[in-house]
Amino acid sequence: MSGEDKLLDVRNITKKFPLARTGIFEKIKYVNAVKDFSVSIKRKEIFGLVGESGCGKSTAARTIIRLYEPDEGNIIYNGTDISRLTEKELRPYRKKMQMVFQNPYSSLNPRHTVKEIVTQPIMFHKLADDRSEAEEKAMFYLDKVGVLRSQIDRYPHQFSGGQRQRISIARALAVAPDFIIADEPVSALDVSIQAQILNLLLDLREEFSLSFMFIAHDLAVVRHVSDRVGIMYLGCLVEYGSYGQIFENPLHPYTKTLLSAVPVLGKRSMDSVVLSGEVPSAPTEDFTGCVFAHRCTRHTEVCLQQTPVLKEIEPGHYIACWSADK
Amino acid sequence: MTNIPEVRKEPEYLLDVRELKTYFHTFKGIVRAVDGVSFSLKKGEVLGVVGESGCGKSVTGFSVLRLIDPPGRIEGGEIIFEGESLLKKSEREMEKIRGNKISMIFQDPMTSLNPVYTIKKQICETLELHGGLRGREAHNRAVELLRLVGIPSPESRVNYYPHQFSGGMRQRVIIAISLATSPSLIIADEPTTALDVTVQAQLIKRLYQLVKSNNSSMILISHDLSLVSGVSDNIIVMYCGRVIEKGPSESVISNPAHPYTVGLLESIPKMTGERKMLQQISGLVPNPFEMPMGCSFYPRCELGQKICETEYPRLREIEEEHYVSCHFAGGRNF
Repeated sequence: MSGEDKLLDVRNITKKFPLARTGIFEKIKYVNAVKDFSVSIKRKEIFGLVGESGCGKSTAARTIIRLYEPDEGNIIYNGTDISRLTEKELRPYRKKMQMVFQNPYSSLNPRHTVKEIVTQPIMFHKLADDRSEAEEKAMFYLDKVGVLRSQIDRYPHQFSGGQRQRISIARALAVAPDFIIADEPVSALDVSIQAQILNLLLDLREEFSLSFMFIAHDLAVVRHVSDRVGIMYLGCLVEYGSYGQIFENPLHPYTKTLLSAVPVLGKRSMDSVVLSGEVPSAPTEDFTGCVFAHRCTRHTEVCLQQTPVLKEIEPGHYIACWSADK
Repeated sequence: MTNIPEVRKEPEYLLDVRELKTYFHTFKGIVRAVDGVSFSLKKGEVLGVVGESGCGKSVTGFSVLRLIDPPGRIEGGEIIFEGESLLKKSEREMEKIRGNKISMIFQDPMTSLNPVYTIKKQICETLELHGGLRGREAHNRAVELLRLVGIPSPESRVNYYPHQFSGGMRQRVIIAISLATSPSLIIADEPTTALDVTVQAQLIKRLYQLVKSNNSSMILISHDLSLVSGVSDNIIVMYCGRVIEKGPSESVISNPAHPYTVGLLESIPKMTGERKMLQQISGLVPNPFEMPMGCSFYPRCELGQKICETEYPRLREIEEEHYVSCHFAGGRNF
């Protein structure tokens, strides 16, 4: 991929969280919520990030837009390293990177009208000269996401879940971002509404040339919207590639079992290969080896001792596994 | 699926629900959460109930157990279980049926266990109440049940408190409790919705095997059509408190007739094949206080015509055992 069209280049970011000490003289241990996470996203690209709960996908996303401070690694946005900028220096970049949250019931201020919710970020980033211009802009974006002009003086509780998610999207769009992180934007919605929101996101990408990081646990949804897909397990990116490569030719043992666990319409679920056990808690910082080794049917001695790094197996298709390169 | 052979003397159906009506009398008016739902379930059968939030699928499940609290009330219809009418039973008699012959698995594993008692105590409570087991006997059975649902080292885990388990493990415990008395009917209301796909796959598989090996029946309530289609013998699709389509799984999934079912199936992103623009069902579910007079799907329907506005379409058979409630679906005509 040429360096020019890279909008975002994330290099080896690590985010650790401290664990509770068991004794007062004990050294604080850290858990690796995200370990050595690298990804680059092109303009107008949708990168889907998949994994089970607790695998660090939301932490990775939040670290990328610096809602969390990265412990290691660099985040290069449009040629500038933003990973060490101060809050004030960061402000111009804040409006370029927006976020749509999972729960439309708690991510909108219940005491503000829809108009206020969308006008606020425009005023904050001084993208309009005065309030009436800001409101005009807000109206424009609300119209784009399908909220009627007659509804803009209502409060969030007067809207359904799908409508609220539209408002969240309008709020993110209002500051004219280049990059949006959508963290499980449709998981709280019914399927027929989910389809409406997914179609809306795809339309908006075309219209405003947006790049997305699309986080979801629903693989079918990710397959539907993403250009490229990354699979995370316990804080590590274990495989990524184009959506075709991941879904037609998954190579990492974890990806394979994850895909086979998805219920498919009309297929008896009794035939699926089932992974035994559950996701263990994320490893502490001194852990070495493959995070998946203990549940992997093909693990060897080396998997338990050395951490696998991402290797390119076919053009654009990377996996981190010791035994998968045939 | 091969049919389970008829069981002696018993009536044809294990559960036969006819024209069930459950209404909620709120200050704003009457909500017809379940409005004339009929279905039946044979012994050993798995019935999937699908629909979007608010369609009345959970209320249907609760109604079968008569777990409807005011302002809700079962207004009419019949619920025949093992040949006896549940609606005619006293509260005392119902208590003997709940958790004993019919048990329920709820959606949220985080809130359906009591946080201040150990798992053992909670399983043994059921065993004592309904099975008459005590002490050592109950303990052994509890351990055995935990092993059955796939909890590793059940001997020590049985003394754990709910917070020591993950979501998936808790749901296993709940399944263990619901199976404790070998009920003939299990109502599972979104049993895996709160869980990850890999855990969901394990649990559904396990639940299915346990149900089949006990020759029990199950009503699986879920919003996830793919999940339901994977385990059910028959499916009913609900919309606005009514059954709009029902039939054998394969038939409903491969040959959906009602425009709502068709829309629902087309709005699900697929795991294989080419990616296409998702079809969306336009509009929203109608306000429960302002239900349309005729067909409740009429305002969103593409096939809609004059008659749909005023007359509710009755369920009619379009294929063997496959019923649809639409004036125009399938044969386009009556």
